[in-house]
Amino acid sequence: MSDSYRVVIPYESLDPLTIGATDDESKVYRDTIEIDIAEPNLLAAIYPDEPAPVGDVTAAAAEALEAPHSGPRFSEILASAQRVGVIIDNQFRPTPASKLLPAVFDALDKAGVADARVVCANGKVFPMSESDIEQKIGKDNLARMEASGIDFFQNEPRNESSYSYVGVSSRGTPIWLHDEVAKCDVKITIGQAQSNHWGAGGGGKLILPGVVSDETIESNHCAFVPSPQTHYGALAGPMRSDIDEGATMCDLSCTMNVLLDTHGRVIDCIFGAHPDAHRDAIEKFNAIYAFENPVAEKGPADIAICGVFAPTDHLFFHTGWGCMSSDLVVREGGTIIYCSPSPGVSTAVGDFPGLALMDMMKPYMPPSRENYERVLRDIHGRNIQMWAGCIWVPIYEVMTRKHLALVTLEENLEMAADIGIDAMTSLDEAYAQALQRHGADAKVIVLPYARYQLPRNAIRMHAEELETLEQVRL
Amino acid sequence: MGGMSPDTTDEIRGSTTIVEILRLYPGGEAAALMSKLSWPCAHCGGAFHEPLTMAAKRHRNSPRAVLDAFRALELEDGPSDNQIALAATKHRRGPGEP
Repeated sequence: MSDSYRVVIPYESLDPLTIGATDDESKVYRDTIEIDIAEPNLLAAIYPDEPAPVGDVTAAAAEALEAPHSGPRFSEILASAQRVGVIIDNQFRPTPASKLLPAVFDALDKAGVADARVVCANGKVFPMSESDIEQKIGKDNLARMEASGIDFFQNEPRNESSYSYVGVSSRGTPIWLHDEVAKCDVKITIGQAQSNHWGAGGGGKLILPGVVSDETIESNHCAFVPSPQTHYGALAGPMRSDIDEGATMCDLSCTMNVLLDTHGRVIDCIFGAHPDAHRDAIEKFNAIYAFENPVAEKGPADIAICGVFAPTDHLFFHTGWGCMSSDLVVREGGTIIYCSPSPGVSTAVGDFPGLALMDMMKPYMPPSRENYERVLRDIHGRNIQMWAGCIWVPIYEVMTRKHLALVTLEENLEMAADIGIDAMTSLDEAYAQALQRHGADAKVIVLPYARYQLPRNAIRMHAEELETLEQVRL
Repeated sequence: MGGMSPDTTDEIRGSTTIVEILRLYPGGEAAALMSKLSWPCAHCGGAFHEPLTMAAKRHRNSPRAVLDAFRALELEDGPSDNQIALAATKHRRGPGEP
């Protein structure tokens, strides 16, 4: 009998607001799930080598503001500032805004900036509740904002009267920017930088889709989400390139980018000019979480086993992004086993189940090339809202080529069956079924932190130079 | 079903907004019905303050059937399968409609 390898993967669910707002470990729920993989089956089990977290997040932010990766120091930027817009991410992102904002507010006070506002880059996601705001920004910061006359705004994408027209990007996206941001001569975004299927999170993404209108968001997402050049690690892909160009057109001054480890702790804080500082943050992220692709040497895996970890949230809609990264190392027809408890979330407007928003794919089930054509037609016809489709459509597209087996909590099984997603509560059962499907010699890759992990050869940091029409004509 | 807040006796109207309907059913029943209609509205900041009738039109569903289904949330058994099926049926847009 061959030796086996004991795989331990995270099986966690942690509210992003909890990560960002509290240091109370008693509020943190973590779990793991384990399975034995026979050594001959194991292609690779990839665990990142993470640096130690920073000790004092606020101090790290203050230090970063005065030691920019590129461009002037924040104090220099503020020296001539008339109006300042501070753009933060929303309740579904774990960026610890409550700990980062004091450094920014200190700088505003020191520079004597009297006209400032904080704007939540919630894109088309429903706005934060009073409770969310309190956790995200923090009570002390809210009190300080009130004392300083710093107002708080959220994006309201269907309210045309709240937006100013900026122009059309080179890729054809018409851009309307939230007035409270547009009126500022200094704009800073504070977000989490990570590589993802859409190229990367953080930086200019807090402008587009964060604080732009419905038309801008849908135009960008409808055009570029289905592109094969939009994939994990493609910072230079069309979607992220359009986002960064849009942010440039909106005169984004600078970005503060935090890297969070797989426990949700800040491991780096990079500030500087847009888009350079964000690009640097992504390079640092990739240096930790990108892995040498074993496929070239050993061939693609038949089965991927993926885990989920702290900086995600309660919905598979957000934990499931790793379907697109594991897709890059699993052969066509292979199986992706995704272990995500996804207990759902209680909000100010009611409870949402763990598979909320994945139900949008139900009219197109079962996943097939033919049904994917229907998806594409409905995107073209604007019958699919791509602020949500930007996530479920890529997962669906993977499902047309690979089998997704979801390991989740019992309470999600009924909804999964209703949607048509293969779900069960046992990883052992999912693995046994996958071995049955692919044979006893099936090759297995383990990506415990799939949402962060990407093969290094998928990274596209720089766009290939396009020949000008003049060159083509010659 | 029957998750309406005790202090709320108003019947759901075409002008009732998505967020108002969601708040009437804090247990998630209204969100679940939106899910059955393949509406992302429960999560959408854009649609948050949109009246139910407008949401139905935008999603190419019958406003009347949608209204009936949401009103049926008040019943002990909630909307029937037939009511949900009628509400979920997509209609082609008429000439000149956006």
